Amino acid sequence: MNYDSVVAYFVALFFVAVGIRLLRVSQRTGQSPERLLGIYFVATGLSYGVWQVPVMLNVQAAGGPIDLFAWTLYCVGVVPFLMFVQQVFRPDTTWAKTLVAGCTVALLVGMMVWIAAGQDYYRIDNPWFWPVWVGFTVPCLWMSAEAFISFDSAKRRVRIGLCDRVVANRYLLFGLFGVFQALACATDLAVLVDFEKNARFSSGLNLSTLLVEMAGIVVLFLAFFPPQFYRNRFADPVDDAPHTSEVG
Amino acid sequence: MASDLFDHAAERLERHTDLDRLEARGTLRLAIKQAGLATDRLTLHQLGVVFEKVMPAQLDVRGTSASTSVCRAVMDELSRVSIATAATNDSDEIFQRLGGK
Repeated sequence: MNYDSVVAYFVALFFVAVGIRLLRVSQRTGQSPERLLGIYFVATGLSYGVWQVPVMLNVQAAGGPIDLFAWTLYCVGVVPFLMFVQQVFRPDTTWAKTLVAGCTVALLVGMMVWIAAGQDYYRIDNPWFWPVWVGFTVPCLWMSAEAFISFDSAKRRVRIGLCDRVVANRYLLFGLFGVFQALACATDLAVLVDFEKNARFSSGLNLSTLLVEMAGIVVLFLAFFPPQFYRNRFADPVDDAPHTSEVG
Repeated sequence: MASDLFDHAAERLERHTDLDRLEARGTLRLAIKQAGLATDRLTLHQLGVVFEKVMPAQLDVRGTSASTSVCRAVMDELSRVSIATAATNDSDEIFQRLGGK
């Protein structure tokens, strides 16, 4: 088992754990945002795990179909993520709905062309590579931007007691998660470019991708499984209870 | 909906101060923005907090006397009127739920 696969499986398992947690929340609340985000994390985590199967089982000959299955899972998982960002941050905005539709079309049409074309589709010189890459990178950047904007306004709401400090911090963590995911997409692209040029994987670029993925795990951990010392930062110093919002 | 609430609030602010219609709407919009809220997704409770904690300073800057009393009077009138507001499932509520609570 190589180091890359160990880290990839750790990331995969963590994503699935976060996804299952969110799906359980959605079962309780019956609301779609947490369901959409839960589906995204489960699908993404499963895709990360499936990607490692040929490596783990040393069955490179079966790598093509397995790789394609993992890509399909990953791209399909991005669609609920897009819907989550739109529903949460821009529920009534036409351009946001257009962006969701555009990225979805880019991802699904690109994947269908990949499936029809067979192997060697994840290449820079494949014209359908770029719609798919943009389709899964743009949502990360969008999420990040919206979360940082929300964090900025949430800080003002916290000051007047209209927002919980934990919630404001969660916006910040989601913003950072979006940045790290976008960086992972960028470093993955750099790895591909380097591989196509030099016919080998750069250990430096691989390490960069892993570090960025791990940074994303850290912020997700703080967002969904915050340790006590982290939660204590947001406790109300007067009454030792988190300052809760009374929205609505 | 929330725009009705904004319109009603601006109208009452205009009535209780020397501000004209544009000034009242602009002042209210500024106060809402300063509070980190959006005019199109406003609730009565949120507006109450804006009038309690943010608006008095905005009115003081514009030379309105007894700004606290003015704000209280506006909210008293708004609370007596039946104004439809948007059902809230805003991002704060959603991000609160994402934490599992």
